[in-house]
Amino acid sequence: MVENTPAQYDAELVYDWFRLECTIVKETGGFFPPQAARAFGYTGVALYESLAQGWPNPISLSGQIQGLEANKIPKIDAKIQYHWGIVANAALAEIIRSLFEKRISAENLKKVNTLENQNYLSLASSAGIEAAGFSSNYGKAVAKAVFEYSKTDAGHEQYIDPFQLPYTWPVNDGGWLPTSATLNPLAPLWLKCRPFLASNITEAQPKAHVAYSKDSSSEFYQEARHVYQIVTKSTAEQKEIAHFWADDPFNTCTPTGHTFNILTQLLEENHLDLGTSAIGYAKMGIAENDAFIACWKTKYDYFLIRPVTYIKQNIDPNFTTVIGTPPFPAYTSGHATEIAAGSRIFTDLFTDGDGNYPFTDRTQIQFGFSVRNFDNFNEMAEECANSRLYGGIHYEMDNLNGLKMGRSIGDNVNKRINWPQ
Amino acid sequence: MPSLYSCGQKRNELRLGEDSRLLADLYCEAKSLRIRRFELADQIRFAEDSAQEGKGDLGSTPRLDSLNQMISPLADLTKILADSINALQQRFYQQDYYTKEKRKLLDQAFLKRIEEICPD
Repeated sequence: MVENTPAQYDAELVYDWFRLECTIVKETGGFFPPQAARAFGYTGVALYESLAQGWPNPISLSGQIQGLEANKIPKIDAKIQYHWGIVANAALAEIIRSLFEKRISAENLKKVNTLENQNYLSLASSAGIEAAGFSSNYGKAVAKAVFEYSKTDAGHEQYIDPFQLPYTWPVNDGGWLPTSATLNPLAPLWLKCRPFLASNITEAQPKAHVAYSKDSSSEFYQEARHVYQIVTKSTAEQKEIAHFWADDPFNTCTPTGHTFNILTQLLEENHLDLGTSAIGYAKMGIAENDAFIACWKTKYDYFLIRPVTYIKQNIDPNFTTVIGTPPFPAYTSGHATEIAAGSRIFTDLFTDGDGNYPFTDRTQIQFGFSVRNFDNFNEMAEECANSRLYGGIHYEMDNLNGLKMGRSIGDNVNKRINWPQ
Repeated sequence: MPSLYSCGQKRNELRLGEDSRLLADLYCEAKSLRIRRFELADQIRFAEDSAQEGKGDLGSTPRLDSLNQMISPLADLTKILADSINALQQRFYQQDYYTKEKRKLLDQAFLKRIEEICPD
């Protein structure tokens, strides 16, 4: 039989799927940052797992990520020449339909079905009708198995009740208070979700934040004072950065979606094959999912007051932030954690380990933001983290410790999982 | 063949100019919508603050309602434009700007164009 591996297939169709997933996240109620990271995470895992047995030396994620048992993933039939493009297409359609099932709009469901059918029809002739059918069925079967696996992680369908009510939050000095008309904190039980790698939680948690105090000579007061000074002396460039990484009021596919859009751009502009692209999406998906669980654990373990609340109480009652403060505790920053995890995945995928990779982020032109240029993935991560300080919604310690936690998670995903070389 | 080379080069420059103009025009529309979205988001959060702190007058709630009603039409316009920009970018990158070098040239021409028609 002629060698037939995912590395021999074009990845363009996969990029279309992740672009569509960004649209669906944006337009489906209940997909806030943690829920979106989870959806992208399982989509990446389903894509990878659907192709895993196509490599000359197959490496499954089963046995490597928590709770995924080897006997639950369907096996390929060695006698069949699968079309890995069709397998990937079917797996992505199936997992996206499932992950958004209860809230997806009719319009977006139609887009999913149309994209699946268009891809199938354009590929089936080169595969042969029989092989195309087997390939599609196999992709769907793997996606169904991954979806069943996802049901056991405590995050299943949490988009239906993203605030996980009722929740009684701790009342303590320096504790989080509502910063907008949204009176409950988002996803307080997200920390109970199963991460793909346990070590992403146990080994990556940051040290405690500086002790809360109203004393103007305290370290905590200085943290808040720093936010106040940055915001009140904010430059046009800092405001632009705050808006760029905030993604968008009313139109965001969340920080994870932005990071996935960058990943798609970089995979596409390097013209990487289906197999390599699937590895990239799986790595990023695992890192992003776990980054949000780890970050949410920190947020609800510490339940720290946001800068806007503290500054209004103790420094300036008329203080306003550059962007709106999201409804959950401060420490640590979700943006900092996720982008740092992502930066390590980018570094592993596109560099020799130094992170140096000059690139232009063009993914936000669609939303009216110009391009931004970076020379290094760490530089990108630091700018994203700083954007939350410039926006007035995070203390610097939230960003610094979020970056540290995210880097540790990204490194973990690269090193602790055995990936095809 | 200097004359043929010049002719080809000229054609490429014309195409680059035309393509960057197309992208820049759409971007400038999107930028204007983006500014409106952030302004609306600010108006909503400041109205919420006023209402919460009891500083707002009795009109705070109707004001919030009317502000909230503006989200959907603005989001719809944004979506239509975002889809057009996405489709245009994908067409460019799959065809005439397939290589990183060509994309860089398009970036440069695009930045130059937006500086002319919708500068910050």
